[in-house]
Amino acid sequence: MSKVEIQEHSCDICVVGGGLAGCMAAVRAAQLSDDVILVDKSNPERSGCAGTGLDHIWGYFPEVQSREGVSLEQMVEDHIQNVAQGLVNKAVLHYIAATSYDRILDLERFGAKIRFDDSTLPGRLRLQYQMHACRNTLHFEGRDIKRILTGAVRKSGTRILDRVMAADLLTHDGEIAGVVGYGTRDGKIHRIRAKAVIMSTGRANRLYKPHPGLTFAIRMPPALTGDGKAAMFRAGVELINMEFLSIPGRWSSRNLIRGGGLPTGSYQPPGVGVNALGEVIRRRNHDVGGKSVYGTAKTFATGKSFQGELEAGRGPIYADMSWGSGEDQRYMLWAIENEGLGPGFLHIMKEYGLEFRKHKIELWPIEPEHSAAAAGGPIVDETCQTTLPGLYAAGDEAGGIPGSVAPGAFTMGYLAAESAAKRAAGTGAVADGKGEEELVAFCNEILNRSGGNPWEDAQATIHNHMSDYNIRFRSQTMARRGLECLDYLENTMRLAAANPHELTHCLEMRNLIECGKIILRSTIERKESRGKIFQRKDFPEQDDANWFCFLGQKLESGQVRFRKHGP
Amino acid sequence: MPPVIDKKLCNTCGICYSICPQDVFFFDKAQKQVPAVAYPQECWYCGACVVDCPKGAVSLTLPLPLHIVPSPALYGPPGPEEGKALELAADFSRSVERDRPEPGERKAGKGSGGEKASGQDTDGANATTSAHEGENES
Repeated sequence: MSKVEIQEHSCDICVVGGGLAGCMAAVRAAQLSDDVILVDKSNPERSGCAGTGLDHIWGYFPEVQSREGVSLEQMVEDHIQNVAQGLVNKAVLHYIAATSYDRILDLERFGAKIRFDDSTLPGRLRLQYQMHACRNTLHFEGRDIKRILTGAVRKSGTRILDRVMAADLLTHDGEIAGVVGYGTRDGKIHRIRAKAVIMSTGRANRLYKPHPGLTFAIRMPPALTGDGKAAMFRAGVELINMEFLSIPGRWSSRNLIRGGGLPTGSYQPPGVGVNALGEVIRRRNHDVGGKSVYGTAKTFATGKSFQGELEAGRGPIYADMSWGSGEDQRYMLWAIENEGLGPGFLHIMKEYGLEFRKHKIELWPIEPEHSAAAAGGPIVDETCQTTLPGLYAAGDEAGGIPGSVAPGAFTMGYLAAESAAKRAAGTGAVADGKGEEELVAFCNEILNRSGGNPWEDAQATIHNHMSDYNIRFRSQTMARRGLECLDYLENTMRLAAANPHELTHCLEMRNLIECGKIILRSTIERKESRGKIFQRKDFPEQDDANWFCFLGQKLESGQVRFRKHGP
Repeated sequence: MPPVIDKKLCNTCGICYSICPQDVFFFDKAQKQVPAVAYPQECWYCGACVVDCPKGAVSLTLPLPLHIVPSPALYGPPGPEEGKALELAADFSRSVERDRPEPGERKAGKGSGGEKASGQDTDGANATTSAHEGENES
């Protein structure tokens, strides 16, 4: 009988997930503590949502916004009302808005280029309108932002533990004591004891059948499988907003591009959305200014929508990026080159003879996403602490801050690091926590199984169940059936793995099933519909009297408990 | 299947193996051999290996379901009814000086609403070329 080897580590602060949030957290934590470990499932150089770039970050730029007569408070209120529909952690949102620019200046110090001589604004910043009614989103050279950040992490003295997938939390006397993970290449279990832990593993991205039909052809990183959220739930941490879901996730072309160039996420001058007749349906991505009463924004709405055009028989929809001057085209290509997936997309266009001047790019509504608009994850206080003392969450990991996106990652990472450092400084010895037993048993069972179900079969089954029971016909009865099916899968599957790479995928199945069940349970519990992110067939109306709240879900002595929290 | 490594260009440094977020490569440092693409179906097409390869030896190929079937664009300035709105939308998408066309390039954008035909003239070809240079520059 083979047994998985366990390797021990110890530190003051452990950051789990080396994306934008985790890297910023590690840098700040290492300024305040001598003993920091950053764990990443792959390599922080190119991991996470911004692995191959990030071309825009929103924030409050005082020298620009105040000149335009927009105060920080107005911008925050705009976000609360128009981005988050009122349901948001206001303290953390305010912190994000107030400190995003400080973190951007950090990025500049680390080596990112954020100033441009052709800018018409103070500070030589290239700012443009994104989701707020003021010019508050920086366009910058972020293609290598993860390499730059990883360099800063290395310089900070943080130890990087790469190719380790977080699986469960270690706890001691009801407080955090570390994290336990699986080495995706070395096949060892890594037991990392810590005085404080920051989770920043992001979203669960592989729950629904991808639009292009291939498991890994999704818009956001397929390596992100809700590992942190699943681990926290198993450890009794309270999660909120897990029922919220963007349907469709976005519009994309075979999920090969994320936005940052197409009208599905375009802030580029020549990018417009057209129907099959060549009529302009979207003049730019965001119809800014439609709802707001402040700022200098205009509305660019046409009164038509992509979905409406499909329904009216004028599909398909295309991104037509052929217009504008050569200068416009160059600006657009520059931005795409710097946005995540953009370098890959431009490379593919070249390889396959596609040119924006000559070809429009077909767009389709893609599979649902538990998106930035949904903001599902652990409820956090104003210090980013979760309900488990000593455990913090940052970026897409944290629940309750819709639309926080990149600035949310940078600022919450920074804030969580400060909170974690305080906690670590006030904690004596590193505790010897428990929590690895389930992981050890799971790994040993698979290692000792000859023949069994490949992880791909479990993945396809999860795709089937989540797509059948949690997209078009969401209701109590459908969600109950979905739960039955996921339970059946969990109890019936006998996963097998030939190597650590495959065993990693098996562990991902464990987490996706966990996340799916949390989502379906909260779907049953929230008895209303709410905006675009929560539609139930059996409760089609919004019910603010009972449900204008975060719905919390947690495990208490093996029982699932729900709790409502005011925003 | 993606990615593909040109064996003639590869210097066996292993960077692609080191950075791939999907861990699709197999590489044995001691052997000093060209990395193998062990899990082609797990590629995310993010382009990290293409960007980071110091020898330009990696390219991405698409499986058939991911091909983008070409469709002709409507190249040229938009019609009068849309021109002004699009121009304004473009202005909202940037905060840079916009009156600095390259030599020999048409000054598109300004007053484009009334100049529908001009986008199809010979200057258009120059603009296309310039756009490609822009890609190479970035």
